[in-house]
Amino acid sequence: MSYPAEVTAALKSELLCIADSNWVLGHWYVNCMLNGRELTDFTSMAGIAEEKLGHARALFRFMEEHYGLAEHQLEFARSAAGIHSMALLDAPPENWADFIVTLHLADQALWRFSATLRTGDFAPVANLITRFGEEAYFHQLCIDGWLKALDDGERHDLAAALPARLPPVLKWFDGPDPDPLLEAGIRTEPLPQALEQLKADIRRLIESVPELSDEVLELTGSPAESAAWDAERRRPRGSALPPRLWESMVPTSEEAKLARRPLAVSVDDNIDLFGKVKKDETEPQF
Amino acid sequence: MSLGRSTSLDQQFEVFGRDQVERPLSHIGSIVAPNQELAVARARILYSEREWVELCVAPAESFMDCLQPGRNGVVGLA
Repeated sequence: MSYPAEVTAALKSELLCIADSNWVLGHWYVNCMLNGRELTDFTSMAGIAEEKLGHARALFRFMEEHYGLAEHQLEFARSAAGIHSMALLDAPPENWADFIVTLHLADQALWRFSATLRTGDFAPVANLITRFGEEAYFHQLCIDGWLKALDDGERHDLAAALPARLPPVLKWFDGPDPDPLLEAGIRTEPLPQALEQLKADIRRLIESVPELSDEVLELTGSPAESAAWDAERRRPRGSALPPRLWESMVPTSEEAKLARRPLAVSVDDNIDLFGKVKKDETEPQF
Repeated sequence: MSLGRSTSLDQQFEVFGRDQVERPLSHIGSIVAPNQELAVARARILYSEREWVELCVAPAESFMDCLQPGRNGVVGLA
């Protein structure tokens, strides 16, 4: 099935938003895993990280195949300023409760956002999202269990962390209006509707934590306004992933480069996902 | 940063799996968790070495003694 150029460009952006957010979220688990105090938490985090990174790589491979991109370039040839992950995940967790509540918000948002493509006309994406959902159900169950097991002190930490974590996750749903994917039938549920479902999820969380006040609940009503918003990347315009987070995702040290599995195609080749640079048709093709 | 720790809420759960529809459920292991949500999630994550058609979890304390090897006298008749 072929779509107009603007729909294809919008779909690439949205798929990268999903893939990159899964990619960063997987690294949140990887980076925090070694702090585990219990073997079962350690294995749970490792298992979820494996699946989140799997979701990201499944989408990378699909995009490379479907859009004819060079192999592995989406993972290894982009810069920190070209990543489409949600800004919620830029700041590292400050404590266990902050870690858990951020995972909860990111996972719920990612699923509500992805699910808008689940029953769309574009079967390859719809099928991938359905498969992701089957696994994300258990990730959310695990996070719900962690939330339920928080003690009094940790619930206070959660109450302190939530006001800063909420606005960026709500802002993530700000996209183009009208939505080209909705008009093309690739998305079957409008994003504002998905956002309302996310707010209902968050209200349930807030109601289950007595330490949270009504002021936090009001935050769910109005996402923070940002003067410069990059609707393509769903991030503040010009923002890049923090260097430490980025280094953990694609290490640049000599040792890491030496140990990296060789790629079939050089990552020095430039990729142009959105066709902004017009190719010179007179250039010889090899 | 302190992550994850054993709590007084921790309890043992037994995990059962069936890898083909026509096969019976078999006991495949145990896990410790402070609540049902974590027990189910951990069972799914920990015992993912094969594709199960059914996987279920039960609190160990919900099992009733029937026969026990450590009991004095004739097993099952004490």
